[in-house]
Amino acid sequence: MMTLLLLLTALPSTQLPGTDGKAHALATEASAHAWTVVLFFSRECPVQRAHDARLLALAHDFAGRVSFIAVDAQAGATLEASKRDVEARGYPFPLVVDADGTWADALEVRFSTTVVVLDGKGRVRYRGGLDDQRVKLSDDFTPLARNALERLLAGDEPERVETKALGCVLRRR
Amino acid sequence: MMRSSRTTSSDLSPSPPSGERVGVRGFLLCLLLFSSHAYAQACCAGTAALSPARLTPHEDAAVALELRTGLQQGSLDSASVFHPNASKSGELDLTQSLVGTLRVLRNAQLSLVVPVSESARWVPGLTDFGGGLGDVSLAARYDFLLAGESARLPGLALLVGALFPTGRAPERALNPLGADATGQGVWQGSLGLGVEQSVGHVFLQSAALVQQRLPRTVGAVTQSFGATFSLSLAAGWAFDSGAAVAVTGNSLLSLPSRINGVLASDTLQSRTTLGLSGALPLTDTWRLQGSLATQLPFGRNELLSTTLTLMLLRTWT
Repeated sequence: MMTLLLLLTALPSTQLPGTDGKAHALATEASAHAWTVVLFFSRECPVQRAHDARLLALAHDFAGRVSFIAVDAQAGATLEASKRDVEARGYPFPLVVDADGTWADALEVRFSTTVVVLDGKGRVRYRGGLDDQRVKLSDDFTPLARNALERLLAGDEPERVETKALGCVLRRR
Repeated sequence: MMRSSRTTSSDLSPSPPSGERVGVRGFLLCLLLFSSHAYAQACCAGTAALSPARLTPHEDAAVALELRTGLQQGSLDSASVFHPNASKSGELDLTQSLVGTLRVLRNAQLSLVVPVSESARWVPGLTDFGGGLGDVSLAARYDFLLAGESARLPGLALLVGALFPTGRAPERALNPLGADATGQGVWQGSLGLGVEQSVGHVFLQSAALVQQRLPRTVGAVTQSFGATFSLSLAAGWAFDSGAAVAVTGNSLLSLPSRINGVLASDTLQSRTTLGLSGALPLTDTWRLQGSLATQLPFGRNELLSTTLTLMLLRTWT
């Protein structure tokens, strides 16, 4: 499984607009940082909304060590709506608009709230859920993405390099 | 006068008899096969509201206990004339079903329903109780495209089902009013398509099924059943909490049977059911589902009943 993930990536270099006013290419994002977390965002998905606090905590706790970027890879995604989402949810990272779903295709993602961790060479090192809960959150959960990041930053491989993201189906064109 | 579905062994003819049972089971099969997916998103919560044991895209397995009760109000004859239950006559049915669903492929799931039924029937001067294992059913669903996955195309699924005559057939009933009959006594297969789409909180679903029962013989009488066509429609709303409600409708038409090779045109059956379904997630892995459905007073050769269903479901991802 891990080998498959490591061979997976051929990251697109298409420039896409972000809510920070900059253009973002997935290949550049990965190569510019030692570790990059790509979060697949969905405006409508209640799983996304339920996990906003945990996502913010994750970004806060790994700030300076890991670069975070979110992407709205659904058909109909617009920069205006994405700016509103970032502001309303308090995301400290940019949200990229990818209505054609090129990032989702490149990283083989079908569901929102999927987290993909890329290393500096653009290799996928973790792909899956933020945790193992959906909308009825409780304290009894496994922080899947956090665990993966901690092990990767410590020089180890994640215990599970691929998990289920329990979000919503990404709407494609 | 109340028309009973399982009264005598010669009950092969016209038939609100097995017809009612087939109708209810057809409707339940539609519900089982019907529907949508994800969770809380319309695509997902809708699944729970409409397809009791259908798995969302993330779920690998589910086990559920379903409790169903139906109260009969009367019957429609072959001329669509409604006959209310006779005074001091009636029927109350209870069914407990164990339902299991397993994901066998990424887009395919298989459901098994094992029902146990109890019935009470009463006429002036006589009350009859009976029950036992009902007809076991198996249903498969293959989603070519999930609802909400495409902005242009609706979700599309192939639906296949089978009903096995594991219950006691009407002609094998021993009780005076046949309350111990729990099955239709015939094999049945079904094939259909499910189409669904979700937009924001709204989900729309439809399913079209063709069902065919194999011939059966009781004594010197052989009945060859006509095909049954079923169309189900639903529209619902999924809440951010994961709860969902939906209005459902189902229409069923069974072509006339042949009795000993002779077409019996007065055996045509039709019925329309209107219902309200809902799902309430208790946790991420437990949910409560329910529906209330009533048959509308038009149709042919059908018993009219109102059915209340509750289901507690445990899922695994």
